[in-house]
Amino acid sequence: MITEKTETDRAEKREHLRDALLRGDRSAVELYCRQGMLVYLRQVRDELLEELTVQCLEGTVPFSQLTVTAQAACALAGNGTPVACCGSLVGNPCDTGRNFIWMLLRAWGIPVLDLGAEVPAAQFLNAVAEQGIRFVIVTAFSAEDAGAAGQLHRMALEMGIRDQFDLLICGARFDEELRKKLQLACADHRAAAAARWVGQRWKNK
Amino acid sequence: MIYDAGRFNLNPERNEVFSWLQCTTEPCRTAFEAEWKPALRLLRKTMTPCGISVRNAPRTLTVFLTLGKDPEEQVTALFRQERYVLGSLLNTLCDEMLFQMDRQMAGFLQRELLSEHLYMAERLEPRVHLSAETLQADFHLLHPSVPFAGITEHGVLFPAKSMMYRIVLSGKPCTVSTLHDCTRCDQPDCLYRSRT
Repeated sequence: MITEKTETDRAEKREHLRDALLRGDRSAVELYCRQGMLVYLRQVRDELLEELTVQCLEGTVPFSQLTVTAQAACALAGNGTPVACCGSLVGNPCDTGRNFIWMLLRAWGIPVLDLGAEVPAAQFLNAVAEQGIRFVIVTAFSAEDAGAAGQLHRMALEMGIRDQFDLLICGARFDEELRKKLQLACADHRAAAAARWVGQRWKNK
Repeated sequence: MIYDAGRFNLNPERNEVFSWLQCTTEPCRTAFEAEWKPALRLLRKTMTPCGISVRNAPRTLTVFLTLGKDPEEQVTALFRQERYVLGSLLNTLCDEMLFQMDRQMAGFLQRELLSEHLYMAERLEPRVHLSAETLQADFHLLHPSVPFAGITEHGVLFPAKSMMYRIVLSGKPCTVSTLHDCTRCDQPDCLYRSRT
């Protein structure tokens, strides 16, 4: 039976956890984990990440706040078999976008494999075929990288594995026609939107 | 001409960096404040500022600026260690250093060109004015001085903390600014838009 005291305790715990995640206090989150609150913590984390991501995409909360929360939320991530992989397309030598994707997927608790920079299409597809990766998130520098994304999509079709994974592209904006052509899972080029999309699918698997 | 680390006087501006990161309110600001000093230490340890100017035509200069390859590698290493706030701060600090170098480089060039009675008339930017082919041709002129750097098929430079542009010279004194002009850039999502 849930007593009034139990409800108050829960509300207090919830506020403490939320506050620790907002402040990026990883030590506090780890302490709550040791107190056996992992399941409850993950629930609070998911709700907070959803709230912050929506606000971040609307421009009312800075991306830096997501960074701070992600740092504490990673204490809950665990190290399961990767279900997502990230890497930058050939033509994009920059690590920045990939770093943010990595951070946000880890924050959502999604085991992720980092394939590095300028990854050939075959390497992404090997991860799908051999390691059972369900979500492929690639980072592009500009819309000119569409060629490399197109190659990835075509090769997957040829190998008969295109339906085994969702493809998301972050960093560069791609027009609607290209998004449809490449069957992109998420139409938003922002890392926060892509991570949220994967996070929601992963939780509801 | 090569301008090594000793030529640049780089002083990180905390308010500018925090403003770019938009972490001006709590609780975000406190978390970033706590990493400011470690980020400065890592910045000083990893960056190797270097500027190069090459005259590729009588009235055109190609300018290349870089912090070297170590800062980006350090940022990525921090992300893999789940030190996202420090990594993010170091990443933005590097960008600020690159913009400071850009402003200082304009001063160096201005003074040196004066001895030839030349003035900087216009700045030509990658993607806006310069094609990938032009950028590759320009880059190959200076590549021997920065063997660790490179350029992709689409004209993207690496290491990431680098920039390259052309300056058009004139024999007549010019009053226009030859610093980066955000209004002529095609990157709508750039964090630094209209601030540089």
